[in-house]
Amino acid sequence: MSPLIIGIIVAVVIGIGISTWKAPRLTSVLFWAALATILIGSALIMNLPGVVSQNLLWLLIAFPFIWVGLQFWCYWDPSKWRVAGGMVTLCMLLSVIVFVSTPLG
Amino acid sequence: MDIARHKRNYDLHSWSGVTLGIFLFIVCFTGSVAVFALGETQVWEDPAKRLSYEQEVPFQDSFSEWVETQEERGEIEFLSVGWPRSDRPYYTTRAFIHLAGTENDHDSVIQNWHPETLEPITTREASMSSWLVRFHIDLKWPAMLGGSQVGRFIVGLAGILLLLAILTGIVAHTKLTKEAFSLRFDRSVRLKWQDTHKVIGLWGTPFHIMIGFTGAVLGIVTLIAPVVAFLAFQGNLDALFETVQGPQVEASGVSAEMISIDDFRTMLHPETGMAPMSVSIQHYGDANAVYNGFWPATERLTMTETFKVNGVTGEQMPMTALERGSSVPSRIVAATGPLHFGTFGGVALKYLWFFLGLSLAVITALGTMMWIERRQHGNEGKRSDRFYNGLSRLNVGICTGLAVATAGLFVHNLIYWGAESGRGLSIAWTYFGVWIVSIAYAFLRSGPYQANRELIGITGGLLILAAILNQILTELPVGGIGQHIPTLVIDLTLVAFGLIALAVAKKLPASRPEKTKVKLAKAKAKDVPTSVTVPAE
Repeated sequence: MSPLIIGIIVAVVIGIGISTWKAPRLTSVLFWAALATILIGSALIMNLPGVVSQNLLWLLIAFPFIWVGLQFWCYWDPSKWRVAGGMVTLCMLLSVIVFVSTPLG
Repeated sequence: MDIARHKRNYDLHSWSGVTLGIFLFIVCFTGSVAVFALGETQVWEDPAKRLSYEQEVPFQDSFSEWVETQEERGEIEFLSVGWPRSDRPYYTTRAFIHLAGTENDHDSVIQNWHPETLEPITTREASMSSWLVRFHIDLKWPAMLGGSQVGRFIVGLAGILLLLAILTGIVAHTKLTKEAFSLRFDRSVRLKWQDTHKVIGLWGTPFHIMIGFTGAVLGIVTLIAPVVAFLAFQGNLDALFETVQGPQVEASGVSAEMISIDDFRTMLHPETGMAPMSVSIQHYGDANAVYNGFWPATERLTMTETFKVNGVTGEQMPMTALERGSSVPSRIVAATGPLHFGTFGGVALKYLWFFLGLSLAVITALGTMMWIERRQHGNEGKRSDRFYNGLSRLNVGICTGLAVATAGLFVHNLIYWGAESGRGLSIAWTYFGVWIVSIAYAFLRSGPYQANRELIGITGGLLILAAILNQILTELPVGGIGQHIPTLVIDLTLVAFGLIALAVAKKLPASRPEKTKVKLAKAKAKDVPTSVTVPAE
C-alpha cells in the first residue's frame, strides 16, 4: 500500500476518533450507524442458511430499516457514551465475524 | 416518554428534517415532477414524437439493415427493440457498441422509426424530461466527481433521512389523533405552519414511508449492497455477479438464423395474452443468442414481466428468482420501482403521486420555515435577526426558485432556437440560471414573504405561458401538426397548475402578519371589543 493511501486512512481514522469524542451521538448517526449496517449485512450474508441470492434480496429490503433503527437508537439511549461505545464495539465484533467467516462464492 | 428523551428525539427530528430540509425539498419536488417526466411530457416536448398510426408494419428487414450498419462501427454487446405503444408511438432500436480499435470505449445508439412508413424519426438527443428525471435520480452529478453512482447515493441518502424524520416525527407527536384534525388558521404564523406540517405529515405517513423506503432501496442500497457483497465475497466480484445474476451465456462464435423480431412480437404472455413491449438481445446472430422479452405487468406490481428465450429456437430459458420475480423478496424489490414512480395505475395515479410528493416537499419546506420562525420571532434564536432573515430568504429562493426553474424549462423547450447539439447544455444553463436568479431575487425583495409570493406567481405565469406557446407553436394549424390529445391534456394540466399557483400567490401575505393583526382578527371572530387586550396564545 502506498504511503499516500496509508496517510489518508490514518487521517480519516484520527478524524473519526476526534469527532466521536467531541460529538458521540452525531458521529454515531453519521458514521458508525452506516458502517455497522454494512457490516451487519456482510456478516448475515456470510452466515445465514439458505440461498445466497435470496438472502441478498432480503438484506436489500432490510437495509434502510437497520440503518434508520441504529440511527434512532443513537438518540434514544440516555447515555451518549453507551451509544458511541456500543456502536464501536458492534463494528469491531462484526468486523471479526466478517473476517473469520468463510468467503462466499 | 421523559422530557430528556423527548428533547433528544426532537433534536434528531430537527437535525434530519431541518438541517437537511432544503436538500430533502429538492429531492421531493424533483421527484413529483419526475412522475410525469417519465412518460407524458416526453411526447409533449418533442412534436416529432406525436404520431398517430393505424397498425404497425413488419420491422425485421429495417432492423437487420440497421444492425448491419452498426456492426461496421464495432462489436455490438447488446441490442434492444421497443414496439410502438401509446406513450411512445414509434419503433425504438438501441445498440450498445464496443467501438472497433479501442480498448474500452463504448457508444450507445438510439434510433426511432415511424410505425407505418419505417422512416427514421429524428428525435431530440437531449430532452427536458430526461433532465428532470435524471436530476431527481442522480442530481446530474458531474462525472469528474464520481458521476451518476455518487449522485444516486446522495439522493438515496434523502430516503434514509426521510425515514428517520418520519420515525422521530411520529415519536415526537404524542397526541396523534388530536393533531391529525387540528388546523388553526386563525392563529399565529407559526401555529398555522405547525398545524399544516402535522396534518399533512400524519395523513400522508403511509405514502411518505413508502416513498422514503423505495427511494432508499433504489438509490443508496443499490450502491451499498455491492459493498456488502464485496465484503462477503472478499473481493471476488465475478462470484458475486454469478450468484446474483445466475450463469451468463457466452457467445459460441457460430452464426445462426435469428428469430424474426416480428415473430417475437407474436409471442403472447401466457397469463395475460398481451404482446411484448420490448426485447433486449445478447449475441445477436450467434447460435447462443438470448432474447430477454419484456411484457406489460398487469398481474404483478413490477415495471415489466420478463421471459428469456433462446434467440434461435425460441425455447424458454431458465431464469434466476430475481429475474422471474417468483420469491417474496424478489417481488418486493421488483415493486420498488413502480411504487416509487407511480407507474402502475395510469395517469390518474400519477396525478395522485404528484400531489402527495408535492405535499412531502411542502412539509419539509414548512419544517425549515418553522425552525427559522421559532428562532427569529420566538425565544430559541441565538443569532441576529439579519442572519435568520437571510436564512429565510435562502430557503424561499432555493425552494420556490426550484419551481420557477422547472416551469422555466417548459417555456425554454418551446423557445429554444439553437442547434440540437447544444440543447442539452442550454437546458442545464436555463435550469441552474433561473434557479440562481430566483435565489438572488429572494434577497432583493423587501422580505421573504413577498419574494415567496412573487416567485410562486411567476411559476404560475410560466406554466400558463408554456401551455399557450405549445398550442400556438406546435398544435394549432398556424404552424403546428394538428391537435394531439395527450399533448392537450398536458397543456390543460399546465394551465390548471398555473392557475393554482397564481391563486396561492394571491392568497399568501406579502409580509409577516403582525401579532396585533392576528389578535384583532381573533377578537373580531369572538365578537370581543377590539379595545380589549386579547390574551396572547
